[in-house]
Amino acid sequence: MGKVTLEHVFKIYPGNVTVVDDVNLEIQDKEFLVLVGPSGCGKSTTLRMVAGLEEISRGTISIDGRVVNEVPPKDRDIAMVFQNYALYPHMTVYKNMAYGLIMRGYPKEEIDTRVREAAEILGITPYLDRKPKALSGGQRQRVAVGRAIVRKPKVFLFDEPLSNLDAKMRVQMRAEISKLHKKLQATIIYVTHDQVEAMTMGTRIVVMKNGIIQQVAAPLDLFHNPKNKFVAGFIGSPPMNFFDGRIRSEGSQVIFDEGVFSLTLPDRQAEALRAYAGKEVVLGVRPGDVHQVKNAPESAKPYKVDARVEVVEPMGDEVYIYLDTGKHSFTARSSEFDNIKIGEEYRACFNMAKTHFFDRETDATII
Amino acid sequence: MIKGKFHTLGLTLTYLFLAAFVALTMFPFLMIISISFRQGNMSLGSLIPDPVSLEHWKYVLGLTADKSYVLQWFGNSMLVASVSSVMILLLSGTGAYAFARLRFKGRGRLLTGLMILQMFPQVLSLVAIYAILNVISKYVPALGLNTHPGLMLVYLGGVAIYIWMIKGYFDTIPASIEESAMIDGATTFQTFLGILLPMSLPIFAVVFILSFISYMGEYPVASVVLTQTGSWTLAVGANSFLYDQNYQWGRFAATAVLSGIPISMMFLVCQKFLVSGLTSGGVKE
Repeated sequence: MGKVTLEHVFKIYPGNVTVVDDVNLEIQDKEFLVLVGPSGCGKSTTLRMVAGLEEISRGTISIDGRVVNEVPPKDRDIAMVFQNYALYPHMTVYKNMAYGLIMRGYPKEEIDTRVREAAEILGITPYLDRKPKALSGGQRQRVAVGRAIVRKPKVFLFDEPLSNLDAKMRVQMRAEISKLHKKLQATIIYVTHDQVEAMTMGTRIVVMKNGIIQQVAAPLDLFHNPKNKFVAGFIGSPPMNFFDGRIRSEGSQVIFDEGVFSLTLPDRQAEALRAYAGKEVVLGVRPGDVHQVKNAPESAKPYKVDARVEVVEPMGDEVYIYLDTGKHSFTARSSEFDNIKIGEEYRACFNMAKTHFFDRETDATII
Repeated sequence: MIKGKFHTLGLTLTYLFLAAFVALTMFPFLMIISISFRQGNMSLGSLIPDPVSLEHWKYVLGLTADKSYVLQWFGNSMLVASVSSVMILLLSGTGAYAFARLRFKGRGRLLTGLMILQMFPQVLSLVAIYAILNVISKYVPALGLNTHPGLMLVYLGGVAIYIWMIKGYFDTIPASIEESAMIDGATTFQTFLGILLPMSLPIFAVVFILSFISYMGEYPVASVVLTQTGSWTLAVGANSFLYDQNYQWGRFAATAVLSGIPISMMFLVCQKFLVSGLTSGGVKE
């Protein structure tokens, strides 16, 4: 079992700097929970409080029902993988992995079995006698993971473990950690600033900003139903396009007026936004929901926006087109390459069914 | 690489400057060796002694009829310098750990205080040192005036600069390695001993060599604390060869060269710890 509960957890540094602000979380046994957010959002601090490396200013953290606020890291039955690997440079890979077991007084044979088993899982058996210096980045990170799994802890804590790897290795290790999670059937709390890692690995994602939890949800739920503008903009790549505008009501019609273009909203959105008539709102459109008029699905055709092409980025199987309405810049993602030239007119259509509206003042999602 | 017009000229000047510089550092050293092999007590003369005489060395090594204390002084110096250096390592290593890793009230001020205190040469406090040791003599004679432990005690006061050096090194070692050890179940002391210490061997070697060298050659404090001929260190002893009217340059030179031997040996021994990169590979910077 490895259930972690955070209740009203605060971290306040001297001078009244609140870096973690009333965090409440219940992490289920065997869950892969990802804490994601921009740097300085308090995600690492939250993790370090769970680890016991950072004192808890207020609130309680419990592991399997036991309050661990005053329990030192070694007695919390957790293991942690650090961003910079934090291997012991003067010890061999074997010793690095065995150290935690030696400190806990395990018998030699048991240590040997566990280390070799972990090395086998991670494919680092040939390097057991080497020092960390003689390993590549990916191998070092594997050793760091191995050091955690030999202990068979209740909870694994990962603090941005892939940030120091190159892009290719990162993709590979991402899949390996996901596989490992299935194999070990353990609880994992994983901190990252990379929304792609969060989306691909987590069973549940916690989005944080300024020490406050913005939303907790499963990856696709987070993508399709963001709770506010921040979450909408943080999850998804390229990020969601935002258009500031005003809601206007003309008879039965509800119109979003950007200044340069205006859109008559479909019924579902019209209903929700009627109350905002005369007020400012933000329209959010994902780049994938911006189509060129000739390729647009029927349902998107009525929502035309004229823009000018500023930059074209061919990615191989798709192309990012950076457009400008004259008031807002936005991005379209398309698989149609032909006839897009910089400086030319581009008539875009928004797939309104998938767009979101946000309250300009509170940033909360309206619909 | 394309070389400019003045390249050759520039290179020549550089070499000339470097050669002059090397000569400046080497000359006194060669001179002192030369004097120790020269007949009589001439401080001036050619660099290669003619004839070569071993009289001073024989005296220094106690091979003549004259009573010579030099070997005894040598032993005293070795004892004082090595014990003091080991103690310095112990004190500054643990002290630096506290300053680098533990958070306690007044940490910053204490560090600055140490630095400022260190700026005053120990010589300035000679009178105070004498007075203090004099008092100590009354209660703990073994730690008082005219004893080697007393001298070592005074030398340990020079620990501040080494604390700063070691702390600087500790600061470059990422805290995550020790945090990792803490999660692995090591106590603070085990982490210090098993993780931090082995990673810090180069700085400990440097500190040991530096303190050893400085205590081998230290004169002012030793000359005040040690008053009996038999307990002198080499530096004090060597100076005794230079009377006002009778400068025994030969014996002085031989003693000086002798004191350089353990320093050189120490350097060779410690050199293998001075390899950089002991910490590399553990973390990704």
